[in-house]
Amino acid sequence: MARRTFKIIGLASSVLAVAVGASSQMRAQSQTPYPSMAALNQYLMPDRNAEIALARSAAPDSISHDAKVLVLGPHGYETAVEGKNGFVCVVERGWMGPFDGELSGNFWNPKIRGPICFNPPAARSILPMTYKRTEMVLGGQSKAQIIDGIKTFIKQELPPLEPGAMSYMMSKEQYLTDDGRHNWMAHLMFYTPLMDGAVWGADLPKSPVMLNPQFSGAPEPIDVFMVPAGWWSDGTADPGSQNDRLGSFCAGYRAGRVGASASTGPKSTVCEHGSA
Amino acid sequence: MARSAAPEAISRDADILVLGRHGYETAVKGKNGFVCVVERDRTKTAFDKSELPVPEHGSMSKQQNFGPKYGNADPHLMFWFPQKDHMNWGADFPGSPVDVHQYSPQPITEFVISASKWSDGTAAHTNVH
Repeated sequence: MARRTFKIIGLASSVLAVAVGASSQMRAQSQTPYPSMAALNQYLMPDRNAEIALARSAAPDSISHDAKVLVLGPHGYETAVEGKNGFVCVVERGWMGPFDGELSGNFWNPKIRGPICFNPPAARSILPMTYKRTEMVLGGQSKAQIIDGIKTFIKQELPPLEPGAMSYMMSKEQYLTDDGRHNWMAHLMFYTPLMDGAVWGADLPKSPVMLNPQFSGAPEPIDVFMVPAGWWSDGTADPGSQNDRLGSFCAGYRAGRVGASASTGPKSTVCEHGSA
Repeated sequence: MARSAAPEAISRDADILVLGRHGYETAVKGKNGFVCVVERDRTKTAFDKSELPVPEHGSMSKQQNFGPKYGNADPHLMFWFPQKDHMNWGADFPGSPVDVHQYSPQPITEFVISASKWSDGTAAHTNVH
């Protein structure tokens, strides 16, 4: 399977989206309710302890209890709690999603809260991209400037991807989309060099593996594969992992709750022509 | 049976091996790089034979049987690493969906993640931690 020219569902650490063609992507961007950065205070959480708790909820307590915890301040992420097991937990914001395409609609969404706990290899080789994007966003740079900055960062400073880099996103309180189920699905993410998603059997019917378009070489040279966890970090069942993720997504699409209106907005290639 | 280790969308185009008197033989030549086989001490598997940083394989067959202790277990995915990498995935911690198994004598670390569905798409009863 060639690298997909459209995406089904992605988590841009994480945002749901629909598959569309190039022309409809442009139309979708013009329709987003979040076309530019909101006031900074909308992205910040006034209660520092609440942000620490939210970050830790990305993974079971047995992991996050001893993790380093970061919180977002006006000038970037700050260490709120020193850890001792090598994991790092942080609440990512919408700008960790894709820059372009339908998924970019939540890039400036100030409501997005993506709690995530990186394992030690990911903390060393993936988390620096969170730092870099956030630094440039808070510096008031445009998307184009941020993309250029990331390209330079990749060439000059980005550490090599470490084997076994992965992360937990199992918070019941995560807010990943304005549509329907805001917390989408408890899942794990695995980071690899850019590759054909078919190598993992990703996004094929009944496969539990999904390719997340979060980076996908645009511009970060990383692919992110996702696997449902089955339960939230508090141990309660996540019914989302039992659902047909594409089927439920397309139900939302047809009801006009996902992306733009099904009647007036961009069409989902998958939902219009797929079996979901 | 080998093909039931993975969803049909994957196993349909996989190499299929069957066990003969002198070892495994290719029964069906595939075209997507996956290899499906019925293992004897760990029933059915769908291997990804490409050289990945994270070699992965799945065992999602409803008919799989791991013996009297584990029965047909849960459908799951498996990931392998050199043991020397001392990988920390938070495996075996309470509430973690990841289990770990150290091979012996092979220097391999195996991570196992349960899948919520069998390869035919029906729901599996996965224990909530």
